[in-house]
Amino acid sequence: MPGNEFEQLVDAHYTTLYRFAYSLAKNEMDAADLTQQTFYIWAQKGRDLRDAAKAKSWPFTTLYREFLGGRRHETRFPKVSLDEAPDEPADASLTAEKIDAASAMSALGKLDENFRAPLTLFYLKQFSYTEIAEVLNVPIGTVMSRLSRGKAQLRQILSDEQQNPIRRIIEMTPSDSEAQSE
Amino acid sequence: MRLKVNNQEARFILSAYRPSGEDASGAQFKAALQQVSRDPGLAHWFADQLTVDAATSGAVCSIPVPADLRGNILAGAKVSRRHLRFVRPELFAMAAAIVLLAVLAGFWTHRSGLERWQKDALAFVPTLAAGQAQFDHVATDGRTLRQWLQARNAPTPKAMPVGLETLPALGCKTISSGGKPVSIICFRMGGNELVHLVVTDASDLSHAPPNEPRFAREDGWTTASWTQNGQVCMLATKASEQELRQLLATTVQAANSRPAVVGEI
Repeated sequence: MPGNEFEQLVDAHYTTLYRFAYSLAKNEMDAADLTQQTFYIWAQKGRDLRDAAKAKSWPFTTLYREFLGGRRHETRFPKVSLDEAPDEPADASLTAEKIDAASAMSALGKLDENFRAPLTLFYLKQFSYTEIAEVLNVPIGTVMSRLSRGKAQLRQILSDEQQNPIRRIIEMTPSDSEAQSE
Repeated sequence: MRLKVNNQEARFILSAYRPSGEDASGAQFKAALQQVSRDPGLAHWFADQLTVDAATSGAVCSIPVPADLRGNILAGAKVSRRHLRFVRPELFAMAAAIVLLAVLAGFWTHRSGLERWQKDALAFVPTLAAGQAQFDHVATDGRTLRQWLQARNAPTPKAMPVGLETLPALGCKTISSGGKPVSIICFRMGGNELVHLVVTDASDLSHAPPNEPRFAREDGWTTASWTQNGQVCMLATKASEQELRQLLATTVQAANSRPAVVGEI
């Protein structure tokens, strides 16, 4: 594939892909690695780049698979079954104006992973629920259910953080210091 | 049969509704939105959800991206390409795959009605609309954007449908589709809808659209395509075909059925 076309594709997708990767990996370094790895695969498998319709979802599907592939070898994150995940109350009070990038990512990071990927794709604004189902390879009804329940859980987390800002600062402090020490 | 939903079902469905309003034409969403219009409590919940969703979307889309990421991706791809030159079996497989896909893509494109330049433009437009890719030039009127494109020898619509002249513009972008430059000018319609004028040179296209606008629907897009003055043009929107036809309404009154045009450059 000509370099200028590849550059266009990078320009079109790399910021969104990175943000999706960041919500999954929860740290800058792994998010950047995942994004670069996706484009590396993309450059190698030029076939999918020829199909403009696929070009939109393909990198997100690939990145998500790469992330899941990396996670298969890790056992330190116990998986929570959706059936066991509790329903959160949907009417937690929330001030929309107070939601910023840090609070949104912090809250998304606390969500169950089954909710986190579809919600991030939803909030990145590029995909409809049917396209999210395609990217994540899950049934449409499952995506709708995860969006509905995930939003309720996210709202509760954001609301808690707005009402207890000190707790949020304390919770964030250890990881900040870990990052600095690396 | 008309779909009817209760409040619980409406909440469930509307959780997947994007704040931009792009989903409003879907049957499920229509039914849920009708229920919203009937129930003030549900309407309050929905308004609140849209506000929180818009704020969260804005926050997620503003997550800072490392400044060196783009450069690293491009540098990495360059190194990979150099490496592949020396791996003959892989190179052969890639070439074979490209040839096969070119044949399949041609076949598929022919069947689906939209050409590659159109599909590439439609795939790129959402990244502009979402602010993930930058316009080459930003201006609020189409004439300024056309002049800007012309000054840079980019494909420039020699004439524009009258209906577009009254719409506020957002900006323009020229992309490459199989090495062919294609210009996109984005306009804002009523509400949250956008409409995009895509133009490229008609020469060396195997399947140029007819002189009369040909309407099509694909992947949520409503498009009207035509050939004029040696150029192929496409108007594309997520709005309904009726709204697109209204935008081209002057077409019907014109002597021929091409879109009435103004502002020859």
